[in-house]
Amino acid sequence: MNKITLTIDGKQCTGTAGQTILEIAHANGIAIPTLCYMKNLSPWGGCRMCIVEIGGSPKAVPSCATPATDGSTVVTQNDRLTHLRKLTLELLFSERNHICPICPMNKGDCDLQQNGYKFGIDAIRYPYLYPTLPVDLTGKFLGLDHNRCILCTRCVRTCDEVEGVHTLDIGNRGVKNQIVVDLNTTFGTSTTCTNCGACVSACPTGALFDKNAAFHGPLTKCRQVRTTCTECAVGCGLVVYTKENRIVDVFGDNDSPVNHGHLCSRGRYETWAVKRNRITTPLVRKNGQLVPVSWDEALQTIRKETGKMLTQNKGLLVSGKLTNEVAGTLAHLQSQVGHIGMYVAEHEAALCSEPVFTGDAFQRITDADAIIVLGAEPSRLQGVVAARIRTAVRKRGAKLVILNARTSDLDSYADIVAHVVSVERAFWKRVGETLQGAQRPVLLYGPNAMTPLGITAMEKLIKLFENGNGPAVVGIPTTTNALALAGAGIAAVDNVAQWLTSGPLRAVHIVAADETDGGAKILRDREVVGLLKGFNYVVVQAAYESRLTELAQVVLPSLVWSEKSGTVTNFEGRELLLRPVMPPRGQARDDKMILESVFA
Amino acid sequence: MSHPQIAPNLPYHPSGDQRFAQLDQTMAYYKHEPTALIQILHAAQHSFGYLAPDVLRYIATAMKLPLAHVYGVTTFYNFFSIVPRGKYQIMVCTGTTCHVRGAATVVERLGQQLGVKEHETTKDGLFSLHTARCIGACALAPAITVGDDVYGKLTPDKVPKFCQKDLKKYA
Repeated sequence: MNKITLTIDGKQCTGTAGQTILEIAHANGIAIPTLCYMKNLSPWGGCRMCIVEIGGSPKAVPSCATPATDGSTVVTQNDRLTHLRKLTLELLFSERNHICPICPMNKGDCDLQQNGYKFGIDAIRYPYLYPTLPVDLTGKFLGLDHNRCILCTRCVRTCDEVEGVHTLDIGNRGVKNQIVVDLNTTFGTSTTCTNCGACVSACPTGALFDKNAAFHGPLTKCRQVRTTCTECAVGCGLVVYTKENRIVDVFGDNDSPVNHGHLCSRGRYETWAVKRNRITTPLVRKNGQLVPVSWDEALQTIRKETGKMLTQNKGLLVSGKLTNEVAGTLAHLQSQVGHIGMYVAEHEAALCSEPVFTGDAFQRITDADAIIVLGAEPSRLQGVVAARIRTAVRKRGAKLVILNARTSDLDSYADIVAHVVSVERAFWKRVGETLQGAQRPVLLYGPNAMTPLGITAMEKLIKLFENGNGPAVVGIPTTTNALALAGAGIAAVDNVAQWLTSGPLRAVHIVAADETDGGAKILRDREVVGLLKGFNYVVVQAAYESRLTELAQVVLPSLVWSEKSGTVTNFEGRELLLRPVMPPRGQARDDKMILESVFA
Repeated sequence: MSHPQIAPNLPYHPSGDQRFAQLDQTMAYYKHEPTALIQILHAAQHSFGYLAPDVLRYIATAMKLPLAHVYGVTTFYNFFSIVPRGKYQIMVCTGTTCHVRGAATVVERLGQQLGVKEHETTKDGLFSLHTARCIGACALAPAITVGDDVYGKLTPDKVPKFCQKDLKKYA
């Protein structure tokens, strides 16, 4: 790391060799206007807003793409540069149909508009081209309006370098240049787009926008709350924008040590942009119908029915999505409830039986030169992990071996894909050859690796590394907080039907919390429906209506992720904070509070 | 040149089209190097006539390249066509000399005579009309090429006669 010193606008600035002028200027508090530059993406040098003069040379160079040299003198602001920047902006405005009043990014969210104000662009000396361009609104969550595109390629680079799928690129040439999706199709028909929305957060204008956030007013005027995504065990940092107690948009938190601003479709959109029926009041079944009642009445009904029951007749089945604070409460309830179990994904109980947290697992995946995915489905369940795997393979040439029953888009990047693990010697020889010489291997395993065949495969894999660097073994559960809850002494239940019949249970209280399916996944085993119907009493505590709440005698409304406070522990063992973004909807209450009042 | 034996008993492409087998050989020759994409597109256009989405998808998958990247490269170069083209390509030179001599009018009149616009193909599938930057025949300006034949000094006034007489030879 060679230190270099240069003079920028008369100020002595230091940096390390290899840094660009722009990076050093920004690090030293000197502002240079930018449009196509984005931190953590490769420089593009296309917009020419960041031009500077070096050592009195008449040539203006883009500072984002020019490495700084020791002892040079850089000028970032003078009349000539301002003139050139104004010309650049005017050309950008004249090229497409930038009609601010009808743009969702109007009044504060658009970098182009802000730069226009900053440079006092009030008239344009070039003729407007008024091109006829299409608008693609077929995407599930995002829209692409070519009229507002300035071809800065921030979306293209994000899609390629962060999400790693490269769904977007620039097609055609010259004035006909246009962002293309796959083979010039639409977002709706794209086969590679993961709906991660990273392109939208990268877009400096209103060309790419969130359909659900459009025209809800500028984000700069919204309240911002930093919280944690509870959709999977990764625990990404979120920045939630709210207005009048309504979620306007959700973005990744750039300061999060976990996801560094990147999100997947589940965390970015599915928690708020998908309509679900929320339960807002306690419901009690009267004459076969669930009717809204007050909290007092609901609690009294439960006490009347279950108060005299013996401890061993009562069961408590909880979701693995609960916070660590609720786990503490559950530990105290052990004396009052005979059976406490946590329902999890298939085969996940074995993963939770000895909870192992791999610290800095995320960084290890990022830096890996060989990744083995065993019985895990990151692209369906942990999109941010899948993005890291893709970029490790595509950008750094990491080897990828996938041993999983289900196919996923990651298969197309893999060196070896096996949906059925073979015990053949030839197969393992090939795996061994592929992974040979790996310096920083990572073995990522999920619940499906907990089968006898999966464990055999894992043993074989670890044996392959006997003579080299052993792999970082990273277990990734499907259920958000399953590892921490299991650590707190709540037994994970694989087979709900078996659990329901194991004891003399007569009443069961199910805490589905804010699971997006309303806890309906415990009904995947058909027997469970019949068993629940046979119980004297079923209480369901959930945020969303589902097939499960239909089976209950009493339904208690609980909070969703955006209303909760507390902590969750991610698969690395990091304790992450949940902050309430909005006040509770209707009469919904915190899971901890409900449990305490039910079992008081 | 050896062909990679991934699934030796199956046809190379579900259609069974042998041109895909040829394409496989070309890609194997270039060892599926991403940098050889342009050469492979050349070969594909040579055997298929144009680069249909199916062909681009086939190349992208085999070479482990993103679809959008392959599309971007294909549409960047004038030479590659993603729409079906005629049997003969009419290239009107629009280099400086030909431009001065009225190449723009030549394109317009040729279009009128053939009933097509630039980059389009005649109904009989015989000719496609294109423009080229410079074909290096400045002494013959305005010059055009039809397939591999060059026609010089084709001023706008001569276009109707040219279409009625010379182009008929290709029918």
